[in-house]
Amino acid sequence: MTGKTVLRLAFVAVLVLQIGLLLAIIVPKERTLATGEKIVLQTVPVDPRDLFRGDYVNLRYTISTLEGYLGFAAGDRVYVGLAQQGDIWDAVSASHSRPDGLYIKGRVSRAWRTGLDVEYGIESYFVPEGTGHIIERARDVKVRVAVDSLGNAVIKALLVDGQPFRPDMAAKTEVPSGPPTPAATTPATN
Amino acid sequence: METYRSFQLRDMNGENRPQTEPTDEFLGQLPAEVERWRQERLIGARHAAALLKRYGLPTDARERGWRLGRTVSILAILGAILVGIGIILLIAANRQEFDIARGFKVALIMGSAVFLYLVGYVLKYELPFPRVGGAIIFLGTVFFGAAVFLIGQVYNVQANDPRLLLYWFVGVIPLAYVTRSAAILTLSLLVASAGLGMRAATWLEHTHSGELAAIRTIPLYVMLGVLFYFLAPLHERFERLRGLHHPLPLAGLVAVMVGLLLLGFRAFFDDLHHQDIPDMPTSLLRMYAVLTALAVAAIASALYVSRRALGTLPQEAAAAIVLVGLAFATLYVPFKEANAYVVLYNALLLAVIFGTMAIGVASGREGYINISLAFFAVLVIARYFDWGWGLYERSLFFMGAGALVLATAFLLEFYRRRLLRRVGAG
Repeated sequence: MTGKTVLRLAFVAVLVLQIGLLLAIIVPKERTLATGEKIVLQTVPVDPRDLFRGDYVNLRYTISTLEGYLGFAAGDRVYVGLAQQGDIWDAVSASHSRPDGLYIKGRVSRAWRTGLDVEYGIESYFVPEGTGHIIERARDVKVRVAVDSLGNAVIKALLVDGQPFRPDMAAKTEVPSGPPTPAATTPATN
Repeated sequence: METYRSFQLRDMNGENRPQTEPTDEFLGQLPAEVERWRQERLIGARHAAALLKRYGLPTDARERGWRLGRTVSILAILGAILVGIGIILLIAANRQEFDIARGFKVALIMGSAVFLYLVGYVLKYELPFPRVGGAIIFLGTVFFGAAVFLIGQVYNVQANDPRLLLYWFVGVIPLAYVTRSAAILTLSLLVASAGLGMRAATWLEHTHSGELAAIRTIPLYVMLGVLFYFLAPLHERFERLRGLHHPLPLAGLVAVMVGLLLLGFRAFFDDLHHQDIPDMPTSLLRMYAVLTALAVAAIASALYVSRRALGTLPQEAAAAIVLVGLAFATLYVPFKEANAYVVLYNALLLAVIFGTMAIGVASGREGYINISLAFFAVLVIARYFDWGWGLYERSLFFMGAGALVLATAFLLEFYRRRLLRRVGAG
């Protein structure tokens, strides 16, 4: 094999690696979106910010704070069991191992004396430029999420006052007196 | 062809050079016309070359082809940059009007990255435009990073997820070695450093105060710096990697000096005695352990491959081991008093600066001298602001600071010239 052929092969191999890395992000997300159960979570959006990826909204869910669960440390993997309550899904358990039924996988960001703060990897929602304030000012924001059988979650849509988010909602959205505070979730079982 | 005739007339009037500039049309047709004269044996090859040379035109067909190719490649670069920036902004703007299907968006991002690489490859290796091709491949590596983040946006991946930087690093580092590009290697080192810092920050953000998180993150850069620095002799040792060794020691020195400079700020340590120090997260401890092992392995390998001409390497290795040890110790916050850290890290930075300068003078490496002088200037200015604020009236403060900067600049220029003269003489 000539030096040029080796170079060409090496170059192609790097291209394949790069495409593989991009697919490593894409494929699991697509799999979760395609096969995951569609649930709705209650959220309170905070702090729209600008990054070079565009504007995004930080989302905090009612299941982001779990009271009454002990035995976890920051950085621990946590499996949070979910149950439907009305049109919203809420946390009913938190454990180190996979529970029966539908559950979502998270990472403990902070363990305090009486409970946990958990991140699920669905805390950012990217919006068209200059439209983050619509979500921040909305009265009620929910997130439709796909959760697959391994507990991985991907955001499917943001529901603003019951409607899927669209940037042209600005005119229809009134400024409310203040966003709802996420209620801490009390466990049914541990 | 009017321009051509009038041009000829003027030339026949005995002028040495045309009084008006020839038009582009004339210059565009002249090579073909001269070639025709040559084939008709009206002029010889020497005259043909002389005629073309007179108008600054390439004298040989292959060269003319290359020149045209160069114009094409400049256009390609401009086009690639404009298209790349356009695509990034289009997707970043995330506008509703362009609510294109997710699959198409992803294909557009990936296709653009592959297109840039292919254009760069062809220009660098198939056509004789290595610099231009290299620039486009480098642009491709930057675009690949943007692609990772943009795909993250498409799937609402956590905004500060450090894995995105890891993907970027893993994707581009092999290309630095395949294309032997120091620029891509430098980019990879920057991305790796940013990714590790972001990873550490995510482990600490909820359990540590900002200052304590900084104290436990910054030593990472000291260790990374040591690792980069001692990877250089390994690259120098192998013929195929030799072109890549330049950025490593400089990146290493910058990382170490930036780390020590930051750790020398009093603000990080002022409130330590008021707070409980939380345990180190296990994941962060593991990261430090791996980095320490890699740094020690790099030092040992550097000593081994350079065993026949060690020079100052053993002293550099000893200094690096002390630095790694102290960086590791800092994670456990051994002192409660801010002064202990301030004195320790400023003294260490001064030692590293003068040590680097000495190595630069001894080995004739100008880069080392320039970096050490630059950091000396930054250190003086940083410490003046860090320690001097509040001790003077505002006006006095700014006048004093201005005078200090001017004096530092004068002294640095003076010593820089003297040192470089010594290097040149040596």
